[in-house]
Amino acid sequence: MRVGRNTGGETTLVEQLNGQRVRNFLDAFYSRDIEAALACCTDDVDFVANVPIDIMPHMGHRHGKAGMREMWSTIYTRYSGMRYEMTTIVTEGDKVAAKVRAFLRKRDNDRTIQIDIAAFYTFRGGRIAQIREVMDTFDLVQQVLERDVAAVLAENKPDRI
Amino acid sequence: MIEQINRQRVLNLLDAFYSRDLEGALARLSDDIDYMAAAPIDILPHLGHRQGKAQIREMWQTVQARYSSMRYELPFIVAEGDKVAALVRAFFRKSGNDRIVQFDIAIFFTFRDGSIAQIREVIDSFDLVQQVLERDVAAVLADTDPGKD
Repeated sequence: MRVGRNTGGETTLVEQLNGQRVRNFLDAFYSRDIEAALACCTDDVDFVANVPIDIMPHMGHRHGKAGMREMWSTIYTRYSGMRYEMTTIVTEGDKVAAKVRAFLRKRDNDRTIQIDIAAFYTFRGGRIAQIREVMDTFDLVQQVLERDVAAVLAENKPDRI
Repeated sequence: MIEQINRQRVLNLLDAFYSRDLEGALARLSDDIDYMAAAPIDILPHLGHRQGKAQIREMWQTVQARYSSMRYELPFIVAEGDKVAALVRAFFRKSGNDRIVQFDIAIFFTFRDGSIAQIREVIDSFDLVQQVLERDVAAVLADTDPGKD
């Protein structure tokens, strides 16, 4: 194991640490320990998730811990149970990319949403300073609204007589 | 060292694909390449699951037929061992009306013997569908909400 710059194909100590930090962060978030999850982030953490904010206004862009707390608190009120499976994690220097399969149980009807999330983390001073998330948002919207969006679009074509 | 080589291989693949060098891009893939993009295949039937170079070629030919020019930006890339992950912002110009489709793709590559053997893509598919269809899907959903008065 090396501590310095990775030039020889080895995983450095920093990269191992950052990979574990992401796992700790996800463990805290999915176990609903909001303060532990926030402790993994810098005070000025910057978060962007590409989602249709008309439908999911609590997501989108958030800056700072207060914004993150508000967003996560909204998620926790909507979902009574949450878990995740890590399918891929790639670490290099101050960056970590992870592909996660998330399972969120809706509070109002106990149905479970299953969604793949790609998350790209940038660290500063041992904490997460930036999060960029990409999701299969079409599928997410279908599951959140419990509607077949493709069918709705087919039924409501603009040129339909 | 292997990380730097694999990172460069991914950059070479992206450069070839976005410059419409189909064979140059395919040369970076293993013969049994396994590709999966989470996308609504009712609307984007050329995406989804593809296996082997022939299927990938067919998919990419469809994409290139629909878009007259393509470019990308790469705000994030990491490499570790046989894996590379990239966040790509893609810009496709529609062949039909010259409008630009812009969307983000998360791509996870796995290498085997110097070739890309597996690609897993996560696409901001709601926004992509809106731009491909040129429809405000959120508005359609609001207008057709079964609970709407």
